Amino acid sequence: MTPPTQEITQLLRDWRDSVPGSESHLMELVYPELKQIAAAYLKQESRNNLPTTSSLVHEAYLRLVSTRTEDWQSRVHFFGFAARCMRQILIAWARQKLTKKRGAGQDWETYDDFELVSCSRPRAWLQLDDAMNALEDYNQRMGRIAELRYFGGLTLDEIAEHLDVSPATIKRDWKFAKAWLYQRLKC
Amino acid sequence: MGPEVQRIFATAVEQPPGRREAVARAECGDNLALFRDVMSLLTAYEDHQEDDFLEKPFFEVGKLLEDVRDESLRLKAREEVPPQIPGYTIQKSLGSGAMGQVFLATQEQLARPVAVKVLRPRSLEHHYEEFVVRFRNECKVLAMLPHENIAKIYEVGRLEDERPFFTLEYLEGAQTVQQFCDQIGADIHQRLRLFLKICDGVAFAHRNAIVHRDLKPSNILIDPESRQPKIIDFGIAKSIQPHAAIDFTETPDWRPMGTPPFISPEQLRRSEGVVADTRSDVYALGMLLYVLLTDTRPFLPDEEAAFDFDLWKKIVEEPASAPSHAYLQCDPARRRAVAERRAVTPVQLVAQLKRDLDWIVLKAVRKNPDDRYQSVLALADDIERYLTHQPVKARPDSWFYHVSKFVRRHWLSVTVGCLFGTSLLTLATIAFFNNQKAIREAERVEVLLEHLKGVVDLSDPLFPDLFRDVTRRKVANELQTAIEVSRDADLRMTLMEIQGTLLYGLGDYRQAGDRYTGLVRLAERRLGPRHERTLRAAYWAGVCSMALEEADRALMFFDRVLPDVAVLAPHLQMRLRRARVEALRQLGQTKSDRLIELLEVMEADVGVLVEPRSFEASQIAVTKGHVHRDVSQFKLAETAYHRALNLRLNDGRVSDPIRGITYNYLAVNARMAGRLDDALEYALHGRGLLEGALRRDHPYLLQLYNNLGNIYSDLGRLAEAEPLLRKALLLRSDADVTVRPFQTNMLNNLADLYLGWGCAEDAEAVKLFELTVRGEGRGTRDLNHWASLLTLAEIYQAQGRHGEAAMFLETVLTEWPLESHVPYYAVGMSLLARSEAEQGRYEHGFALFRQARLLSSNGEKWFPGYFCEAAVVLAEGELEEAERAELRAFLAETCP
Repeated sequence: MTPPTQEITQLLRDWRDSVPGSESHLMELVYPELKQIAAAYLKQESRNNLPTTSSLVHEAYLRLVSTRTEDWQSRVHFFGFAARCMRQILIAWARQKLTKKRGAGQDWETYDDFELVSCSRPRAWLQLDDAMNALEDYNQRMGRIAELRYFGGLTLDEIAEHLDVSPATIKRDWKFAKAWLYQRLKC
Repeated sequence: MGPEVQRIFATAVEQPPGRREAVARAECGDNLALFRDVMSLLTAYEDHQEDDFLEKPFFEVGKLLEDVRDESLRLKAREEVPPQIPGYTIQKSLGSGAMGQVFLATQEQLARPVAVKVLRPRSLEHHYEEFVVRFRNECKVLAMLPHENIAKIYEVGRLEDERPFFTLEYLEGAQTVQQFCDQIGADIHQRLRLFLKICDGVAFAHRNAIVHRDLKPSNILIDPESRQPKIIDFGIAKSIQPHAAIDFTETPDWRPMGTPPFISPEQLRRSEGVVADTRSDVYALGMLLYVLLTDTRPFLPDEEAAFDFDLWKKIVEEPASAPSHAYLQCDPARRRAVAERRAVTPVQLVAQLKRDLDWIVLKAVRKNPDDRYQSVLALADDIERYLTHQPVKARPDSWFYHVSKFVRRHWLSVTVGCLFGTSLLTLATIAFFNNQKAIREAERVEVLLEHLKGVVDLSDPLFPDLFRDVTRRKVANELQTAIEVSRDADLRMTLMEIQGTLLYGLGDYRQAGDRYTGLVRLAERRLGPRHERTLRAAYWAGVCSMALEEADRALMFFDRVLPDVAVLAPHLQMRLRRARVEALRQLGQTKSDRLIELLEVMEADVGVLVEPRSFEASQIAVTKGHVHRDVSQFKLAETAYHRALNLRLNDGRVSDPIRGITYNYLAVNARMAGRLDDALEYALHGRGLLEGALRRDHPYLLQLYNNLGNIYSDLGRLAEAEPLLRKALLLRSDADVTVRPFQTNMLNNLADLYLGWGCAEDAEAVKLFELTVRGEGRGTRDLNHWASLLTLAEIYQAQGRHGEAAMFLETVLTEWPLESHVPYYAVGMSLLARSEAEQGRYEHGFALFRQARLLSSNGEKWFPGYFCEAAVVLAEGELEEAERAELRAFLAETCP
């Protein structure tokens, strides 16, 4: 069933304002839904006729937050938050994939839905995730931009709105962030 | 790389590729290192001009966002303009729903008012196509159903923009059935007569193979002129003919169609392949009758309640209480008002509802469609019988009569050989709780039972383990109805006791506790405070409080039983005494030596009162293990837990989950002792026994996930730890909120994990959230409460916020109750010692450190890690030589 809408809207606002605890609470409410989306996305790699993942995220938004389409602001925040969740879900999945491949570790969580996927991507994601973490250490905003852009698919203007920074700055930072990430991934 | 690199890169990258290097060189001047950094970035940037994969986002939602925004603005503009329909003048909007808008209009030719329903403008909405189909269906359904109790359709057509619309009869000044009844102050009989007319309309639809699926008060209007009810809104109606002329598309599974509490369980379980049929409307009518009779809505104490998982679960699983019962639950003022609107006194109203009407409503709203009236006509017929003073068919003699007879004759004295216990009891239970056929089966079993020797009665400690979860749930639900309708107090007590035991076995500790507390009151009144049944119920109420981590409340119950403990069966005496020690342990105000002493006396008694190798002996061993563990005597704890495990492995009556949770104790202990590999092995073993045997959100299983997560976390396998901890947390919040304190412990662990991960800020956020939940959820300030506060201090320390840590710790230590959880108190002091030292207050830090160590009088080393950390920082500070030597000695001796 759908979690209470108002609660999520309020939490999104809190999360945007960095209210302590809001992220974990939001996670609780949103995570299962997003995990399904991630699973659908990963399946899509082998079967192309499924709905696009972005429409799935959109649907998740409708389900979780609102069936009306007017609350534009909270939609941007929702996607921002979704980006963070997606990253965590995929990285967790990729880690597990690689652990399994090495034959190490136990079967700690069965991501059954993900089983259809070929194994080409996990390593690349892990490397990218590492690189993004390092970027965030170097410059927190750039790390966040990369996350929103790559894992959330937000446009630079939306990122500007989400982070409340001018679009010009975001554009400049993003170019640098890309160069920085590409350079790091090379080594 | 400094900001200079960023600035030069930003300048250079804006140049055409060929000029970038020259610009960079000019900007860097003779700073070669800087130039190299910039060039390296520029090269990486240029190398990926072709394969710029970071620009191919994982999700391309940006575009979609724009579409949605534009679309929503456009739609808003369009919705504000009323539609133009030739031949009609639109007067005003009457309202709008998800699918359509309704307007009041005048049909010019006939000069009559009509209601016009128009499909909403096309939107990006994922389900729009389906709306179109459903809208068309509604027209066709209405056209098929000319009946005086169903709204009439006049005309169907299309707007200029192709949107379909239809016109309906408009009832000037119409009220919903509930408003109407209340306004005219209809008595129960008038309400029933009106209800019968609604049944007429629904039955007519059913004869035409149409199920309404959304019957509720607001969809039944009363025509003020004819005073006839009119059923409206067939928007989600469905044909039950196999090859219907109308194409009824189903909506996606996640969207429930219908309105609580009128929506039937099967409509909510569509994803499981359960199909709604005419009996779903019987359910809705039953609920409608419920509301008309009592003005209360089952499952929805608060009318504003969100349609969340809790509600979903209630509708699917929890039997509705009898109308008379629900009415009695209201506060007196409301009771008076409700009765007044029915032109009777509260006492009269209860008398009217009890028995026949209760039975009729309960039969209509059974969870299983097979148990309801099989048609609307059957329901209507039974109401007619009531109105004409004939015995109603819903009289519960069909099963309840037999059950009660059976239970009364046998539950208390049933004798079952232990070996046969499980299968026979299960068989018997399923059998006689299901239906007539099964009752014959039960009578057969009954004969069998009488031939068996040995005793399993209600007070049997293993009784909760005798059933599988599914059976337990089923029986517990059935019993609820039986308890509601039973007027025989003695029988009711028996049923309540069985139900409490089953709920406890299901891990629904809150509900079980409520049941037992109710039973204590009832038994006290009927049998006296020192009667065995009163005392037994109090014992169980205490056990439930323990499971809810309300040790203080539990102790109250146990202390109450203690003076008369000899009245109880011997094994219950043992269990009570051990549970009391466990409560004392959890409250942390009794010294461990004293607790061990108590347990050893009990160990001696075990051989006298019960079998030396009994389940009770294993329980004592477990508590002994806990006590040792609390004071870091991990070896002694391990021995005790092993003893418990051995006893439980060799006892054929002990179930796998009980064994599994014992492995978990061993795992927790090994983890705390730092033997992580052993811990992992124990925990995985425990998991093997728990998973599959228990429902996925059973508290035992969550405890295990929680602990296993901690072990992985300690092993540095954080990626494996996090999903487990999260899973435990998510499942916990999915499940009923019965064990909230437990959830807070999991939050604590998640915070620990983030801390280990180096994400101190996340850890802090989780932590603060946890403390809020804790503050709301519990009165007891137990071990977990204090330990949890210490974690927050650690988080501050990890962030280098030693000033805050020190201030916080000082507050915590001041509030800490003397004598309570001393080892943890010592940890708090050593944490404070460290923060003081970090701030250069070495003298004070050292004093605290020494004090903390002295707390452990018998030379035990509590949680050495914390002391070591403090000692390391202190040893670097400005202290007297003697003090430094003391620290060095401590480090050499205790810290690796």
